[in-house]
Amino acid sequence: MSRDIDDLQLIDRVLAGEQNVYAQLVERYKSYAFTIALKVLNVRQDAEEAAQDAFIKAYHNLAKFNREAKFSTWLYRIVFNTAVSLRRTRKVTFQDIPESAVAPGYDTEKTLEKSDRKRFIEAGLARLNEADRVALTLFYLKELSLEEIGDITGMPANTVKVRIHRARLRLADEMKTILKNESLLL
Amino acid sequence: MSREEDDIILLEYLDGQLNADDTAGLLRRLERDETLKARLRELQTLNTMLSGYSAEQPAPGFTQALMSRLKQHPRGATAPIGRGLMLLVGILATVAIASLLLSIGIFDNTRIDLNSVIFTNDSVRQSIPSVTFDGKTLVNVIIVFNLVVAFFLLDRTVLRPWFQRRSRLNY
Repeated sequence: MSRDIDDLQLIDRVLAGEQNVYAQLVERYKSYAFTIALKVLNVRQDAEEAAQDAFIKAYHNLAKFNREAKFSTWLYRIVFNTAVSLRRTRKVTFQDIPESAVAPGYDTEKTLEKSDRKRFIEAGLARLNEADRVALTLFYLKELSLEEIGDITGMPANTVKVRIHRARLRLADEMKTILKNESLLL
Repeated sequence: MSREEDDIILLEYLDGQLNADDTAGLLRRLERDETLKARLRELQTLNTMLSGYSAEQPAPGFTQALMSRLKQHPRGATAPIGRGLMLLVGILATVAIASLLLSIGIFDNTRIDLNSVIFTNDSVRQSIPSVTFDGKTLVNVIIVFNLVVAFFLLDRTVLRPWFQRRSRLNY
């Protein structure tokens, strides 16, 4: 809550003409903004471009920001929409892990290191649609409520909950496929 | 219970959203159902993998690059208000001139004879009735339209920014 008040004070200063103060808001929210864009676009360079465009859009529309709402949620929604628009123009394709990468008899228990786990999770996430991918990522970052995730992705909170459940189940199945139907027991 | 229903219960259990009774029921089932237990382990593993997820960081120069872009495109707060005010003054001047012309009766009894306008040749026998062109009504409509536009401009360029500024100062 104090962060929200602090945000409003920073916004007031930006609106009063202190452009440099906006850098504080950017510093505060850039990692989440970038993560959301990355989940939609899957290319770091494109994600940075989308996040920057979103911050600029937010800056130019700062006077229209509803002060009753949370700035972060409003900003992340702009990021999500900007990234989705950019994705349409770029026709981003997600790269799956090739079948050959996981050899038959792959011993998951011994060889699946942390970096591999992340890679496999990324590959599994890549097979979900962008709204589910963003919702699932935000859910596990554990800073936003289901309502806020819904506001960002344009879905009601109940729908978000159901979609996160389904996305996890689908992800579990995708992981099984990726690991050549080996058990997920690591 | 279907597999999907079981999966939902297992996920709610992992999220800590299952109530005490349902949790006790699930634990009893897990003791005797090896398939359900295996599925719980799968989802638990996935949950652990996803829980270790942290926000990604953009390149180090992200904020500086963004602020440089913002300096090239500063917020045009004053320019649109200035342009809006100029447009508002222009519209009000037009309304004033049109009202003045109306009041001196310049648009009274405006009439157009279509026969003289369209057919200059006598060989055309058909005649078209003369049409009364009510210039006064038309100018009145234009004045009303201009006043509506002027009202919106006044709202956008003067009233709304003024009230927004006041609410920020009162905050």
